[in-house]
Amino acid sequence: MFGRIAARATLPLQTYAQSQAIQGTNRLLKARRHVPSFCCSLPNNARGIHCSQSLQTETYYSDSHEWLRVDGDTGTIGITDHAQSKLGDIVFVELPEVGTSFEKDESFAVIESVKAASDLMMPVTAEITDSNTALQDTPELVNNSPTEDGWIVKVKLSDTSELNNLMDKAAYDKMASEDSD
Amino acid sequence: MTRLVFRCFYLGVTRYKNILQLQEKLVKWHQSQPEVSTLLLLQHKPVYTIGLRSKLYNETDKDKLELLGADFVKTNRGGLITFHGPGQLVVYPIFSLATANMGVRNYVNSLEEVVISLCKRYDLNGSRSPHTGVWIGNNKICAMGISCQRSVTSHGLALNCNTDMGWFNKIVPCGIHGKGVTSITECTGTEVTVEDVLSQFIQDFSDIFNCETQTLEVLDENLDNSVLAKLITEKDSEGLIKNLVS
Repeated sequence: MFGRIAARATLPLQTYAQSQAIQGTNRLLKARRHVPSFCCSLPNNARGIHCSQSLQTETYYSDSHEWLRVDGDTGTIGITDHAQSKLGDIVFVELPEVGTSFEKDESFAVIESVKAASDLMMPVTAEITDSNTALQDTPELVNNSPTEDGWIVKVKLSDTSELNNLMDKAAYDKMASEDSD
Repeated sequence: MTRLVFRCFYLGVTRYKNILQLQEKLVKWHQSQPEVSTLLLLQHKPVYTIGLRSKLYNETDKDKLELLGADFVKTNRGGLITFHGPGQLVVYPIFSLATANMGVRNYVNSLEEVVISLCKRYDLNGSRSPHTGVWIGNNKICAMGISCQRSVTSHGLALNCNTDMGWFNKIVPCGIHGKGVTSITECTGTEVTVEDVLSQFIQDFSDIFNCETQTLEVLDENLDNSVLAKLITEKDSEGLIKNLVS
């Protein structure tokens, strides 16, 4: 209805774009959970397919304060806002090599802040497909934008059933509120 | 919050690599037993160590420093280059931050508070700066560098008691230009040794961290890290210590 995307993956792009132009309204993306901002920054003619795919995007959380945004069997991992505030000003991020695989709960990266080097643990078993090299020059991105520009790695999941072991936002927020600084 | 109980061990003057291997063993043990907490107090034979950002130093730096008669060891702690040697109290708290319900920033801040409290005993006004550690004016009296793996801490702090400060002239300590280093002896004009401050440190640590600290156990400084690990991880180490000492 008004502002809601009814488009499915099979809807012709041209028709979708035209219908949006006619309506002239902002679309309300009815994603089940968090919708990544990069979805809205794509060019118009790609938006139709990507937005409908983003309906499948879910964000999961580990008890060691990593977030994992999943789209099918690919994902992006970073640390939460709560985690970055507990760490303090980040001065260095040691990133893993692209192509390396890690088991669930294995240490895959290290973040240095206040002269402390803290390891990050993989929330799921996966292969690293990309790492955020911008963090080499601007590690403070993790403090300033922990869930967007401060992402750490992109991965390909080996076993999506491991997602069942992770928390949703509500459960994570509850855990974080019981956590002290 | 669980009130932590730290077992405290004084290891004497030790070789850095030996204690590094000991810490690795203890970290694994603490990861499997997150309710246990250990405080290692010791001194090191002369050594320069670097942290995680090791690309800042090269083979030439290493060779130059080793020629001075010191070891040179790369570690996975935070912080940059520093020196450890006799006359410097080195403390490695090894415990689970998750059990303590403490974040890294809070933990480091608390360690600084312990040292500031200890300095007060000598009428020294310790302070913080944007660079982690404790300062007396423009001079650093205590360096810090921590590692946190699966929530378990290792490495720690190094407080200059009556260290030979000349070793620091060969490096830019902690990578901070334009500032100096100092010791309790240098600041007070009175000889203050590591042994003098041991129980004071434990007391202040217990106060600031609001934890219990058990009686300090003194271990032979020549023990290999495997033996040390066995002694430290045994719940009842008294029998073993007696056997080794006799």
